[in-house]
Amino acid sequence: MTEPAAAPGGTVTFRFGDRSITAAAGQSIAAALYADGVCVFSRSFKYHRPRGLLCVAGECPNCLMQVDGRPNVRTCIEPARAGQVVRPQNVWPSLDFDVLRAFDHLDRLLPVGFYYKRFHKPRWLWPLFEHTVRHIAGLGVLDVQAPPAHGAEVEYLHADICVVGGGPAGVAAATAAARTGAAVLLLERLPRLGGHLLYSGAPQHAAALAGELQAAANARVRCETTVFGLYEGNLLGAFHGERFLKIRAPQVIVCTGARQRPFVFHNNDLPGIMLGDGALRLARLYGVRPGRRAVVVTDNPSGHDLAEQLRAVGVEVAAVVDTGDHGPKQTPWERRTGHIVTAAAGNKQVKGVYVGAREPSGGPYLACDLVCLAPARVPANELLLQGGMRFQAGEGGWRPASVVPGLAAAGGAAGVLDLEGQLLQGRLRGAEAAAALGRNVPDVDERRRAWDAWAAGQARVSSSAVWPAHAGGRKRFVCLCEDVTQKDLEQAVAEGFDNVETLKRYSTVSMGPCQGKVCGLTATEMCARLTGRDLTATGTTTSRPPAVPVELGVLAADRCHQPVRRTPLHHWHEAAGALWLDAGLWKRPESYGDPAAEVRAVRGGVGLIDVSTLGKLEVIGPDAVELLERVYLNRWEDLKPGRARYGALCTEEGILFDDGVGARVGPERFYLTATTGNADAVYQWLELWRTTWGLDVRVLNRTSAVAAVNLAGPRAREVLRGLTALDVSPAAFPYMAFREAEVAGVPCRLLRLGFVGELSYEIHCPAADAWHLWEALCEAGRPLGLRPFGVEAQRVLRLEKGHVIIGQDTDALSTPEGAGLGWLVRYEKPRFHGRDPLLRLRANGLRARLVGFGLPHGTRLPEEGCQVIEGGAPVGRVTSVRHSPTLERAIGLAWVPPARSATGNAFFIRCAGRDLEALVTEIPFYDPDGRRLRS
Amino acid sequence: MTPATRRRRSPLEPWHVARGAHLGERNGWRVPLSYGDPAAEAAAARAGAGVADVTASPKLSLHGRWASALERAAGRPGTVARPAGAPDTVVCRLSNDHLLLLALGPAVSGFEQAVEHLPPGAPLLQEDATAAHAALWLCGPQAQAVLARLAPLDLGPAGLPEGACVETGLAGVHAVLVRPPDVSLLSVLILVAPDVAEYVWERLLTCGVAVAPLGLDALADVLRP
Repeated sequence: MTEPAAAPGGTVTFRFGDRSITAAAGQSIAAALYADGVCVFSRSFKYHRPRGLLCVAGECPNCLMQVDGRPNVRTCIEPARAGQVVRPQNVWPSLDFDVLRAFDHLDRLLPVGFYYKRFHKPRWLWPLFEHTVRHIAGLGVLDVQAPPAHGAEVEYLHADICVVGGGPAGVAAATAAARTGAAVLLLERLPRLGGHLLYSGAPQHAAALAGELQAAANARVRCETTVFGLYEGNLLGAFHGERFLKIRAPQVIVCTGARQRPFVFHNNDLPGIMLGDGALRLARLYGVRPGRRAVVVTDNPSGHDLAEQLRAVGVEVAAVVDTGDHGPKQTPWERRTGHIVTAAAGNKQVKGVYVGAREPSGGPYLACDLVCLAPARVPANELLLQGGMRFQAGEGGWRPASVVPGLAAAGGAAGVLDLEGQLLQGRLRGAEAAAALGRNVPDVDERRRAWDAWAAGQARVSSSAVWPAHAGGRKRFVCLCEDVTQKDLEQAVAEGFDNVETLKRYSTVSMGPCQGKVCGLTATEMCARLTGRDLTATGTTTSRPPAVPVELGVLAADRCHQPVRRTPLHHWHEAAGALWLDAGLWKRPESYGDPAAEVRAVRGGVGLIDVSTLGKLEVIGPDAVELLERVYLNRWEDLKPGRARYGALCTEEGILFDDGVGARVGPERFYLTATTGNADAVYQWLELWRTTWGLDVRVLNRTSAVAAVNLAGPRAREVLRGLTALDVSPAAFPYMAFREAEVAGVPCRLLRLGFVGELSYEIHCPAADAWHLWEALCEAGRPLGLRPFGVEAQRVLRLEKGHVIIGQDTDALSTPEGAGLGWLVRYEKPRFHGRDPLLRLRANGLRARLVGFGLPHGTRLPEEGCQVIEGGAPVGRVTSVRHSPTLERAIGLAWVPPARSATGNAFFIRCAGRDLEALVTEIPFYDPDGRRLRS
Repeated sequence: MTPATRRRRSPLEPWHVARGAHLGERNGWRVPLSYGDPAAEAAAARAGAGVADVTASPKLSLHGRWASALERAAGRPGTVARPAGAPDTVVCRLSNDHLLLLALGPAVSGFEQAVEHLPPGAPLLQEDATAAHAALWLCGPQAQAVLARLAPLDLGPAGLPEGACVETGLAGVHAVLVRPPDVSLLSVLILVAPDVAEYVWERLLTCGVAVAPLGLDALADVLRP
């Protein structure tokens, strides 16, 4: 075993099943397990075949395990930590012996698309099959009982140029860009910069490159940061541990390198068969020897290099099996040129390979415990594809074939596999990005010439995972995530799924956790081969974020915190024992424990409610009247200063939008309230139309800055009188009047309104003064039995008055006529929102009408939303229903067909399977002539 | 009945009280002077980041359509100027026709001089906006790192340089951010609606970067030139 490169001293111990595993600090979980002799890491999705380490880069599905309850952790890159509990997933009874391996022998019964073909008949068996399939398939198990983790955070990052990937190309690009003075951000998945240099035997080179970057000012480096998506507007999504990073940069350079993928041969998924890079990562990043005796399989010169590297980390190389004749002729190992692997032998661990010159299985046998695959690398280009860059297959593999402004590729991701080329291209792309930002980059042309000269002189290497011929065998895996074999793809194409996109959907190739990193291009090659098209014409499937698995908790990081709006009196209510109600983002006291008593206090004495959540808008300017006249249904022009009026507004379609009270403060100044839920919407609506019509008026949203309380009840005047110099007598301050005055030393606006049906004063004051005002009112009202009341009592009080709450009693189809607000609409106005649709509606007649109803004594209360039934069919619904402590009976509002809406008519409400008889009742239920609120 | 003396409250007052703050009186507002150890609070802000509730500092809002004249007075929208004759006041030009005057200290004076120095032409609307915004003074070398956890906008040295102001989303709510010029410690003044002040305050204190609550004594200390 070689020393772990990334682990300066120290060990940690974690649990794996019933074993205790010791890992060197910095080692990944899988590397420590491998060093401890574990070779089977998971069982495959469909056939439950044993799977071992393949990529050691977090790209394939083979090492997924449950770590500390988190499912699907990629243990090959997850650092081992002390005390971790690691368990295999979706195996029974154990990883080494999984009963469901039996499926491996039933593959003839489970052909491609079997779930579309089987289980349809008899139909009644489907639920059983569904349950069974769901149980057998799948990955880890999420512990739904576990408390939600709130550790996730969001961080926003900005840079002129963002370089993704800290390999040689990425570091060169970042360094070149930073030297121009641009603000550069480099993101690297691993803890260190260097990319393939770290495991291909050139760590000093990696350190030198990183040193150059550090010397450049303006460059920030974020390691252990994985980018998973490139979105519109050059927004990059990334994560660092549990932190969700959102990065914006006008220029993005993607240097995510290149990757190998497995050749397709019988049993190519056996544990011990690894990508060459995976074996080297295991040795050089984590200090674990990948095997004792290896066979290298290749179709290009990189196989020879790999064999040398393996020897350098202490692995005996038995042979290099080369489909062609690459590399030196004299080697310390056996060379099998012009040969392919026909099959691998072994059960839970590879024991050897059969090789042949395209002969049937059973040719020469090479014993080994490690098979290293060295195909030519292909671009890891998911982010580039997401960014809109197109790739074309040509001589030498896949290369970018389009230009996307603000997006560039360098190094392996652009198909450049040679170190010198990667550095030249990286520097060029860095300089070009800076130049695109308008920076003076004198050497950009020189860099371009250097790159062009190098590129022209390059011999192109191409490679295919699919050999022209094969020696049979059914277990020739293309897709490891979903257990899709070459035979499956052949059958799917034969069945007509000969387009890569339909082939993918039908066979599920590339639809697993790796999202096509292992199998995507192989499936394309196979599809091309089977359909006789070339690779570019065959194309690749669409790449979408996330390019790498992301925990949902990370994505939800900024959803963990919902803004909370609190009125200035919030903590007073809390101390008074308020029960809270969520009203949008607001917290409102639903009651202080006894809503019926609160109702009685308002009806019999005096009550006080915090209505600070009401929308409060000020409309100021010469065109204030014009704006309101055009937007609202009612008139405002004739409203005198010092007077207030109920108003409502519709959308252009004539649907009720909101209501409230408007007071005329001065000739060109109005103060309006809107409902809690629509405050911002009404403000934006007025702003929209003010701007659209070019009116000389200003709309100010005072909702947050101004608090409001409603002092209501027959004794309200007595409370107020002691706190203000204002004449509050009925003659001086009548119903629907508006005044500005000091109350308890606080400058206030007072409105005499009647929402709850009693004498009441809605008092508005600056938010900072609300507490003082509220306490002064409570103090003054104490001798009179003043009681604070909550939203629940207010709902009952207004229902007794038959007042409609927009949004509760109305919906997206409600018109003013239907909701009983027809009296408000002033059709004589030349224009207002909804005028024409409302006129047409008036001509055509209503579809439904909102009516008051009463229920006989002793009837159970139906829930709000219960259906109104006629002839067994729903014809309406209940919108509000309460027991009225004042009337001592159940009352409510409901939408009913117009034919049923006359007072005294009976209709039926379906509630919990029973039909309750209700009687249409005249509204208001309480104080029908309004004497009390005018008092 | 004689009402008690009018006393104005920051929406964060219950938070301060619950944390045992020493409260004092400024301009009819009760303000948190310290949470027990002003020296430690100041040290925490100098080393990382601190935030103080300065809601009580006077604010004046001017709305008007005198864009061309204002341009001369306060620069382009998104800039902050210190008007002559009112050293403790900054003028933030939020848009072509909306100016926000902020007192950087608790003093009431300064606005008259500032308004006098504005160009002629009466504003359409001039109003005390002190209670309309909760004001949180975020300062310290880590202040921008704090904002990067809560705001999608670039609020680093390039996005929000000294002498700039911006309207943006912060922790999911609307905020005005002001970087006052010529202060001794990197500072960003955060103005939010009073109803979300407690929410924003708590998000600042739990954003993942250490932020210390500062009393006004510690704030005065760290801002001393």
